[in-house]
Amino acid sequence: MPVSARSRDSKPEAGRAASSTPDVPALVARVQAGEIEAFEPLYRHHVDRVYALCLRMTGHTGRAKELTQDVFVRCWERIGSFRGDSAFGTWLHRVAVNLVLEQHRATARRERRVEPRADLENLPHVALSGTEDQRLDLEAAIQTLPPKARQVFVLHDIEGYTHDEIARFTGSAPGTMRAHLHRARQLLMKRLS
Amino acid sequence: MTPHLRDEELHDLVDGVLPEAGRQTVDAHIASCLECSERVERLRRLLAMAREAPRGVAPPDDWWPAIRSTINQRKIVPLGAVPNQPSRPWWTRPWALAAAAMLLVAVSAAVTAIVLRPPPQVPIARASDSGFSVPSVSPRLATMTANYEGLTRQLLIDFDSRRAALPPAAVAQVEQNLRVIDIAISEIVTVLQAEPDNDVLLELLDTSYRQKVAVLEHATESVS
Repeated sequence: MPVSARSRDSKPEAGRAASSTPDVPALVARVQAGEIEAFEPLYRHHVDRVYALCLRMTGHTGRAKELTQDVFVRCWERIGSFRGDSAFGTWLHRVAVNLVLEQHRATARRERRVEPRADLENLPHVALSGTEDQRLDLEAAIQTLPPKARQVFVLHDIEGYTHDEIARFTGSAPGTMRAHLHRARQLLMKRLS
Repeated sequence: MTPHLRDEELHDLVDGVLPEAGRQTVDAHIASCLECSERVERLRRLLAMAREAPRGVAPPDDWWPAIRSTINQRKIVPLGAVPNQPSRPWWTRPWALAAAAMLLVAVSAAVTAIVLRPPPQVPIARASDSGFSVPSVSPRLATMTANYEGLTRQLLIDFDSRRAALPPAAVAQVEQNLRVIDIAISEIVTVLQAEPDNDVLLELLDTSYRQKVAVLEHATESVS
């Protein structure tokens, strides 16, 4: 699969995080020993990537903010289980994905509410002009996707997880997961055409 | 001309997972069908845009103070590891027990401080008062207990079903941690019956339940 595990180990590229590269393994060791001061640089180095994931997965800035904070609290709680088998950023990203999906399941169970999203088919098509416009259109169109389709698209086509990995995250059968992915792509192509 | 590509064929082709057996037919169709070749191009453009989307988005505010405050307020004890021994199995590491033991020490200290503090000034009971107090359970305690009990019950079922796949030392470590955490929970609940709205105790109880969930999740995830 060409997009699998494409760049999950890459460092955050946007904002403050790109300005300096801390010694992540050393910081992790200090955090595992309970030193909260060492947690702040880890947070600053990874927050952009975590927030982007939460934002795209939820399509809601308020929930993304809460989830981002929860991700780092959970990271602090469970950092002892990080054994260095993968990059810390990869492990943190998985913590974030699990938390977002967990919260989504809990919310869906509690509320069974209709998400306040525009029906994609009814949105006017926007003429694309230039790369930045296309990117913004893509981000906007992703937010209008049905929740499951959006999550699978973000995890597979943006974050680079494999079909099998996403099936494990979501608890869905791989066939169901692929169906969500195909539907997401079809809707996005229609929106962006 | 062969039939147009089905959606599934289109996606499998672009993902590179189309079975070799049907690949030649699909390629031949695309070469002769403008409509399908445009569909393939549109999908490739979409995926290229997705790959180029920025990995990070800077938050609008600095959330570190809030995160630090949450960690401090909840008195969350990190399940810290021993950095120089990464190859040791997790159940043999001292942190696994130490975290639970630290939790119990924190809980015991807080409970003792609350129990031993001077009693508040209370008005003299009126003749109509019943003369004894009935232990009460606050809605917050009831909600928290209900939320966590269901989750921990399910996790315990999962743990039991995977117990055979874990080394005996790991099972013993998990059970010892659970016993320590359960003692902490029991102590807190006992005192909360007398002081159902004590925020410190409720926070400690929340932390204790979260530690229990973390221990069980860690144990079950390690064999899944």
